[in-house]
Amino acid sequence: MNALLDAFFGIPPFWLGAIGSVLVIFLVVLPAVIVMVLWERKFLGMLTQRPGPNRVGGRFGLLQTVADALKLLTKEDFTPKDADHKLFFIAPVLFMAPTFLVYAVIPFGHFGGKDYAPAIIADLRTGVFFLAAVFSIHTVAILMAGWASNNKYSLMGGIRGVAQAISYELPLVFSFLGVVLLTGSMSTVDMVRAQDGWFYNWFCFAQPVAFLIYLICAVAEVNRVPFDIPEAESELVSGFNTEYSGMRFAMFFLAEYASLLAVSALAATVFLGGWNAPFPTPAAIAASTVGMFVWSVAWFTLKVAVLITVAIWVRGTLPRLRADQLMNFAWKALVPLVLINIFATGLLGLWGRPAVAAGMWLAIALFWAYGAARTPRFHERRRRVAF
Amino acid sequence: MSGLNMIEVRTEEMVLNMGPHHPSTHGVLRLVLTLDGEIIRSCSPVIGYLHRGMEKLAENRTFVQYPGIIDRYEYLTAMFTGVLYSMSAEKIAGIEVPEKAVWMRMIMMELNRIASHLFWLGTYMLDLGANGLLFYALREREMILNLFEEVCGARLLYSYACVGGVRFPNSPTFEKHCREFLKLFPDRIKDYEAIVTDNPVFLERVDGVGVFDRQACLDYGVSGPPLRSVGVKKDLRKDNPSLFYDQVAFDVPIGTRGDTLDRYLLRIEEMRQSVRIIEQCLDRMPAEGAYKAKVPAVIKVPPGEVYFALESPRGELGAYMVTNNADKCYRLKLRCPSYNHTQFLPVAIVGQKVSDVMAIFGSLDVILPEVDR
Amino acid sequence: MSDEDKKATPEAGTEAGPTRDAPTGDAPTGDAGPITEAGSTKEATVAAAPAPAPAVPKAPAKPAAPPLELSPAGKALADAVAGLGFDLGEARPDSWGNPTFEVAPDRLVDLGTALKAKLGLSYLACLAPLDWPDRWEVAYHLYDFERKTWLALKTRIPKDQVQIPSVTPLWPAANWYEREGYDMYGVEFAGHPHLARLLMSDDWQTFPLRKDHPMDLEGGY
Repeated sequence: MNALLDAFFGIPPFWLGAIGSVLVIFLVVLPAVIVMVLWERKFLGMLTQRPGPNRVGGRFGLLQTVADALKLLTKEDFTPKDADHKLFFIAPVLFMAPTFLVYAVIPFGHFGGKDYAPAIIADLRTGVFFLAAVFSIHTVAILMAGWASNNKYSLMGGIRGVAQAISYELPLVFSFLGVVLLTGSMSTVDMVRAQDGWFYNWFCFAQPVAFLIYLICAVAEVNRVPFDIPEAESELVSGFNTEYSGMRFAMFFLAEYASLLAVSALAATVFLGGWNAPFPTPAAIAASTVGMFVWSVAWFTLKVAVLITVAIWVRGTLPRLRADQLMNFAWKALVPLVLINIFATGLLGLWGRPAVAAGMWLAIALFWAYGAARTPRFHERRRRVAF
Repeated sequence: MSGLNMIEVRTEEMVLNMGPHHPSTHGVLRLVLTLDGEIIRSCSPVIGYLHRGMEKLAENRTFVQYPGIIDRYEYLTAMFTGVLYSMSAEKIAGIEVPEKAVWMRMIMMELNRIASHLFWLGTYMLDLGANGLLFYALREREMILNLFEEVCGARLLYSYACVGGVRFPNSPTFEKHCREFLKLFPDRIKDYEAIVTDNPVFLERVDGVGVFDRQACLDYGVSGPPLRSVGVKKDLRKDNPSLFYDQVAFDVPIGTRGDTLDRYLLRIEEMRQSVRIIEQCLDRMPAEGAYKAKVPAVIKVPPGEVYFALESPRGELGAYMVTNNADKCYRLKLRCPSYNHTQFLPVAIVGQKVSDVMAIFGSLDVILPEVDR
Repeated sequence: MSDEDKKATPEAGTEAGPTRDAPTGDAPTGDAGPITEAGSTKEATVAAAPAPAPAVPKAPAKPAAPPLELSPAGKALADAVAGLGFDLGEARPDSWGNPTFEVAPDRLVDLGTALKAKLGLSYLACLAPLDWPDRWEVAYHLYDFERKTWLALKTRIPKDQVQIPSVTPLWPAANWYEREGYDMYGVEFAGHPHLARLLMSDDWQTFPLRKDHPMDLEGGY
């Protein structure tokens, strides 16, 4: 990327990086969030036998998010009376900032050619490490928002949110470590390059357990159902962002969807092959830069869209987990599992990636059989009712 | 070293107000909770926000006027209160209701039971966080409401039962539509069970949560599915049958462990049993018949009193009616099951976690209008 | 006493497998009214009300109530209560066959204790005050799980002294019912743990359900 853009007008890379990041945010993230909000409401409607938005912007409600944004912008922006003003002001900003930082290390596509230059803002050699650091920041923001609102419900939402975020960060980051072991590098671009070729090269097949754990933790980090205890509507009336309205609430709202997009993009990058198609790139496309760029971005977008749809699907189906059950699950189930995963990856990796994949799937098959043999109790549940 | 003092760490109990405006309190109920972290130390419900003076109204409206108001006690089960009031007056006055009217009352009541349980299911899932199930449950409820609309012209508040029978004759297509609904409904129940009953997240929230103490339930006058979930086999349709409940075959499910999952399973099973009852009623209902006894335009009920009770979806719905030879009743006290259940709520949730409050409260299936009357 | 307790407490769910209730044509228990059994012929059955003048809808004649009798379960319960030795007199049936006994207010708690201890009547279904021109009355309805019928107890209080011992220590269900009785009628239940207004707002001054209270209060209380 740097080499390519150095040739562009001779602008120094730092400024290109800065301009590039701004462009990414405005041309990629914001439209994506607009589409995502609408798609979530439409898809949830489909799942729940409702039409979804269908008034604004024609039959499919295409301008719904724009209307929502305008509504939020024109709302009165107030601060509760005894709220801590500085913290109240900073909390939404601090909530948004780490989300956009994550986009710095996500490769959206590549420009082909001998250099194989990826379309990424900053190809850090410690990409995954950077992500781990960045994910922790929004925890503070949740607590700030909950505390500064001067509202018991918000405080409870903030505390629960922090507990949940901390619990699920560990398995989230550790689930990357298996892939780091297999590629030998923490850079996201290297991870995508390692998934070149056919789809069985993707890390979701070599690391199925880590992929599943990552998806669960990603949904938990974004505070979505079944992990939306911090903003549980039926108990806490919107939790830590109860007292926010207008543009401040818009920032929380935007940041939540941008986070969902970010973690889905990460999943697509690390586990689903990033910009790679399920089959090797046809030669005709590989030849041209523009073709390669469009091809890679298209596949990347498709994968991200599928992951987001799955997240919305889960939201429409499952009830909410209780706060202590949530943390039990994280600490007692996910953390041991992810540590075993790293250990197994390291051990089996001595014989190469296919061995790792085979070993993982064999273990999953064994556990599945064991679980199936031991779980007739699901059907016994109905017989608990006597007559 | 000498003089080391232990600093006591003092934690304060927090008073949380689940105020009258709350998405999950099923009406306007205020719960003042004292929390110690996530555990509830005490709870005091504040009611009365929806008090409309229905009992005073009963003393000032005639027996012909009041059935139009009585639906408002339990608006989701309006048929039950209407039949209750009418039958109380009929028992004191000795008015005989034609057979077809009795069967129609039974059919409508059981359809209303299914509708109420469906609504409960949808909103209970909302409370637990699964927004998906609400409209599926309401989809079936729509079909029932369409049936009601065919006969009564109204979907929610029917004023269907009157002293002497029912107010409206059957529509010619009612039976056909009803049987169509009954044919497809058991499959839909299976669908709900597929989504919910085996769902691990749901089971985590519900299995073993909110176990009721049996003697406490009896002490507080708990009835209906909550009482049956602790193993007490009390169903007024079997124990004190009125209408034609003793002539139809149905089973009464009771729970074994008294937790929230039992109450959920009981209500699902009761829906199935109601389908059975309605089918038998449709089979046995005479095709021709009067739907209302000949009563005078001004109904004067002789002096007397009665305590009459029905099994509503929520529990024992009782009416203590005292009459004094007037065209209005002298005193009407409606014994509403949700009143006792709301009184029982503090006993049920003290010691539980805050997140379980909604799960337990939802499983009690409380409707505030009948608490406040 | 504990044996009787165990016998009289409600049966637990110890059914062996599902039992189907065959439809019976017998008279239902606890139903003394002539409503549901007659008129099973197929043609139009129009059962007239027992007394009113048939052809003159404008002049409602004085209706006569049907003769009241206790249901079989009610009779059994009335005998059991009479056997307690409180000298309550005859049980009067209400229109559904439930036995009603008249109790003096000062013996109410003793009777209730005996009912709960000896007959196992720990389930209070309803508690309602009434406002008659010459007296106050409070009616209690207890449910007997063994005989499956209700027992009604009625007490009379003189008009000028609206006080009665509270039964909340006996039957915790009475707690809110008595608060509502106080709220609506002004009946003071002595010994109630927290006799405050329940349905009306806390600073309401009048007692709405009293017969001399108007339907609408102009300008609030």
